[in-house]
Order: sequence, then structure tokens, then C-alpha cells
Amino acid sequence: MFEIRLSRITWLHRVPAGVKLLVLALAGAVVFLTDDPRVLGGFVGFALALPLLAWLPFGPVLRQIIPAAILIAALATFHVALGDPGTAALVAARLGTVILLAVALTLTTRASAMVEALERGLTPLRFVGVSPAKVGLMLSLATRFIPVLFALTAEIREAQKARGLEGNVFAVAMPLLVRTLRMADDLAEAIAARAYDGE
Amino acid sequence: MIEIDGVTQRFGDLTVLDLLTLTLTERRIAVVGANGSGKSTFARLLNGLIVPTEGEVRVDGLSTSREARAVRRKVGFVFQNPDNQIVYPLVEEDIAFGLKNLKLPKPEIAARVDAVLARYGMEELRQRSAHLLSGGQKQMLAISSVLVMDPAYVVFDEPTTLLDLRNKRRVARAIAELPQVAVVVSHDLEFLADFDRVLVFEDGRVVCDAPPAAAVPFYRDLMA
Repeated sequence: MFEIRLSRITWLHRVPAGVKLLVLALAGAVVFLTDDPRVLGGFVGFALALPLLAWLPFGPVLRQIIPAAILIAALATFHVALGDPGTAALVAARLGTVILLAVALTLTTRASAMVEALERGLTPLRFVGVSPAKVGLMLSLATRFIPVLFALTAEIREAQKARGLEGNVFAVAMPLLVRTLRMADDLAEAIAARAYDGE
Repeated sequence: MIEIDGVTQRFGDLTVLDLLTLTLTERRIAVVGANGSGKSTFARLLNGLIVPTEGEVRVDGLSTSREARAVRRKVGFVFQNPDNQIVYPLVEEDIAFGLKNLKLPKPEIAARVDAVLARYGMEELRQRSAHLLSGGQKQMLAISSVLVMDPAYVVFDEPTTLLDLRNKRRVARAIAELPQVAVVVSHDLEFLADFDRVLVFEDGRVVCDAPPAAAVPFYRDLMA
């Protein structure tokens, strides 16, 4: 989990992460700022064509898209039910474009490459006190520890189940909170021990 | 040489280490003691993760209180639970983390990562997600991530506690083969036979400081 990049290398893998992030950001900004159906249609076409042009396998693409597609369908249905099919199409086109491009990005880019690109992109913000290295480390830690926290939750849930506290949210949340805080302390020590100085 | 000079460590009202004075010059030093005896606090003092409430710890003349950053570059630290010290999602990224902090050039980082992966037979794991590794592999990753920084001293805080026997032996072998000075906090007395010196902690004091042949039986009697 959280490293969903496809191992079979395509030309899209070779495009620098910074370029792909920039395209995603620009495309996202344009589709949410414009109402012009020709522009939107162009972006939808680009987003649909990109996985095909990059020869991305259908299976992984569909697995990433389906949950978002269900949400988009629900939103569109809601607008149609309100008698506003135009807005339904607009919402579907905007969200669909961004999600398809994001899927193409994550399937062809290492998480660390995205973090590095983001760090480089944030460099000018040093002058207003933002530390790109700290932001990068924060994102990497989030990527690293989400599966660890899932595993920890499963372990605690299992332990509470063994004690007959299966449905007790508090019995899972409290030990999870305590262990997460302790883990955060240990992690801070480990980072300091490896000569990290936040620069 | 590590010098512990009149060190007392308190956390609030609790005195964890009580007026400790030691000089560590041997290559293999073990630290044993019951839970809560102060051995993990002692280990953390050695690379400046904790600064003493009173007294001073010096590593090759550098004070952990005043020159903590320089000390941390000299003294590597391997924690008990590798899950809490692996920072990056992928194996090779985590090994490179400390080297980036040392501001080494990219080619040198790549060469050092390659070398340490080869040394511990982990080349095929380099692109693997850290959370998918076995317990033994995680501990070897944690050890590699510290050793790649080429510290002069390495402190291990119970590195084998969470491992099965095969992986305990693997980690013990890795420690035995280190060219560096190693200070190892451990409950695994069978791995201490080849150590030069064993410090037995009890209630924040060193109650026995001797080679394993004398210190291990002393500790067994203490725990009986």
C-alpha cells in the first residue's frame, strides 16, 4: 500500500515527477476555473487518452478509479435528480479529469520522487520560513506510517476481540492513541539519532 | 573513548542513573540489567539523545551536552523496535536518509547504499516497502541504516528482543563482525560470551563491571 507504482516501466514513468505534478496541478486549476465545454472536453479527452497512450494496464487503473467513479456517479445522479444535468456533467468532467490524471501519476511515479519534486517546488518558500526538507520528511513519514498504523489498529482490535471487547470503540482508540504517541516519541529520537537537523 | 563523568540522570523526582563514572575503551561492551534499571537511559546518554542532569558524557572529547550534533555523527544508535526507527517507505530510501542528513554528494550516497545492501545480502530488498519486510529484515535494515553513516561507535538498545532465534543469531553475527566499537544493551546473555566487558545495572548504578565470565553469573544470581 502507498507504493502503488507499476513495476513495468512505461514512457510515462520516465517523465520527471515534477513535470507530472505540475501538469496535474495546472490541469486541476484549469478544469475548475473554466465552464467552457470545449476546454473541458479537451481535458477529459486528454485524461482518458493518457492511460491508453502510456499503455497502463487496465486492471490497476480500474482498481484506482472505481471508488472515485462511484462517488462521481452519486454526485452526478444527485444533480440530475435536482433537474440540473448541466452541473452533473460539469462535476463529472472536472472530478473525472483530475482523478484520471492523479491515477496516471501515482501508477507511474515513486512516492519518494513526488516528495523530492515537491521539496524542490517549495524551495522559493524558504524566504517566508517554510522548510522544504521538513515538509518532505513529513510527507515521507505519513507515507511510511499509514500502513504501520493500520497494522497497529488491527493488532489492538484483535487483542480486544480476544478480551470480548470487539464492538468497543474506546477500547481500541485509547491503546491506539497511547501507542501512536509513544511511537512518535521513539521516531523523533530515531530521526535525531541519524543526524537530522531540519535543514 | 567514551567518558561518563559523575553522571546523574533524573526524570522529575525519579533518579534513573545515580552518580555514574565510567570510561569505555573496549571494542565490545555489553549492558545488562532488569527492566527499569537505567540501562536504556545509559545507552541514550552515549549519543546525546538525553543530556545528563548532572555530570558530563564525552565521546572522543566531545561533550554530548554542548556538541550533541557532532556526537550523533560519531555514535550510531539502533533501537529495539525497528518499526519505530524506519523513516522512509522504501528500503534504499531509508538507508540513504542519514547520508542525506550528512549532506554527502549523491554519487557517494548511492555508492554507500549499494555497499551496505551488498554487505548484508539485501540487494533484492532495495525497492521493497519497509512495512512488508519480516521482523529480522526490518532489524537488519535499521542496523544498515545506521552503519551506512560509518559511525565510530554504535549503540544497540536491545536489538534482538523482538526477534526469533535465527534472526537473533544473524544480528549477533552482524554485531560481532563490526569494525566499530559497539555498546550493546541486551537480555540475551548467550550472545555476550565474546564481549570484552559487561556492565550490570541495578537501580541506576553499575553493580558489576567485569568480563562476561564473571559478570554473567553475577547477573544470573542477581536475577534469581
